Amino acid sequence: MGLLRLVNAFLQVGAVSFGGGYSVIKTIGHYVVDVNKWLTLDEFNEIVAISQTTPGPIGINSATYVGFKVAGYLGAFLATFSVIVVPVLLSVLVYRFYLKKKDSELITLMLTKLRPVVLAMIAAASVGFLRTAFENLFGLVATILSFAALQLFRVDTLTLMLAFGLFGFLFLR
Amino acid sequence: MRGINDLRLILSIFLATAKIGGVTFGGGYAMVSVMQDEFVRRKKFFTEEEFSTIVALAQSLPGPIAVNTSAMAGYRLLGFVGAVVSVVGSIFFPFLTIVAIAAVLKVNYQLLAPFVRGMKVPIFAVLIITVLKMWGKSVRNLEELCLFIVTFILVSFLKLNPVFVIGLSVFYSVLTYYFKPKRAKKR
Repeated sequence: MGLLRLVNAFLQVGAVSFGGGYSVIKTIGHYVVDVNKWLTLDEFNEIVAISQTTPGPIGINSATYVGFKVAGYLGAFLATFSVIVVPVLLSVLVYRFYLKKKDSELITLMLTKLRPVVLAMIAAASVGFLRTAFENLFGLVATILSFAALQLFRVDTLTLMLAFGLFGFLFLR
Repeated sequence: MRGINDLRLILSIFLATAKIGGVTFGGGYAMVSVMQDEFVRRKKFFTEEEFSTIVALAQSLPGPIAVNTSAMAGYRLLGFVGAVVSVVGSIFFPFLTIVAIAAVLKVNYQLLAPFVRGMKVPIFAVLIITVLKMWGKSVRNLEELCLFIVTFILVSFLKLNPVFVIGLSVFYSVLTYYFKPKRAKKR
């Protein structure tokens, strides 16, 4: 049954969706376009483009959209549920394990090494936004303002982003 | 005793995550930055160190980092129920938005494009500030600094798969644990 294949496909997607957002897209594309032929490549690319202009993780949004295309509202729900169920369960289990083993020297050691590693990944991700930040005078001024707003004036990150979003909506068309 | 306080917490978690999930464009790390603002600074649900740990674990597991972080944060607050509420909150508005767009088919989603483009401008600053905030609890000595630098190089310039890099760090941890017998046995 179509629904079963949908669930099956996205369960697998969720289980192997390591790394950043775009590697998940490749995996989803594989299941959606190649294996199950639910969409053509063009249709899939359109979905990805749409998912980039909507809030939420791009992998989840793509799953929701594909689910809807394949099997309506139920499909959207099932695809979304399937894609996150493995990650969420693992997250909870691993975190429980961590909370229990907090005093373990090995676990502590692993985490003290893991934190700078992951922090470096976030720093590396920021490089991806370097161009947008500095490619023109507007970007330069905006970036300086952002730093000032966040650090000196304690502005909410969310408020800052929304303000720029609004600005973009009004002036960047 | 369960009851009204738990319910209030559930609502609080849901509202916070829904708010975050509903307006955060620009990728997982941006959402993590916003979560840090909301959970650590404003609502004081966790300390900086706890949050850094959650993020580190979230990155190591499959799934979008934002979803994993939500799940763990929710779990920390209110167990499994908290995790579920947190995740549902995070994807609540995105889910509705996507279904609405999919159902109404030819909605001009391009309407949102300038909004998103605008939102992406401050993200560089946001991420740098996030790194600075988590720095104190993540990089405490020379070794950790080296790990930071090496990872940065591996991921930025050599474009290595993040999972592989995390695997390496775990391997490294295990090595240092077993080859420092003095430290291990001292306790």
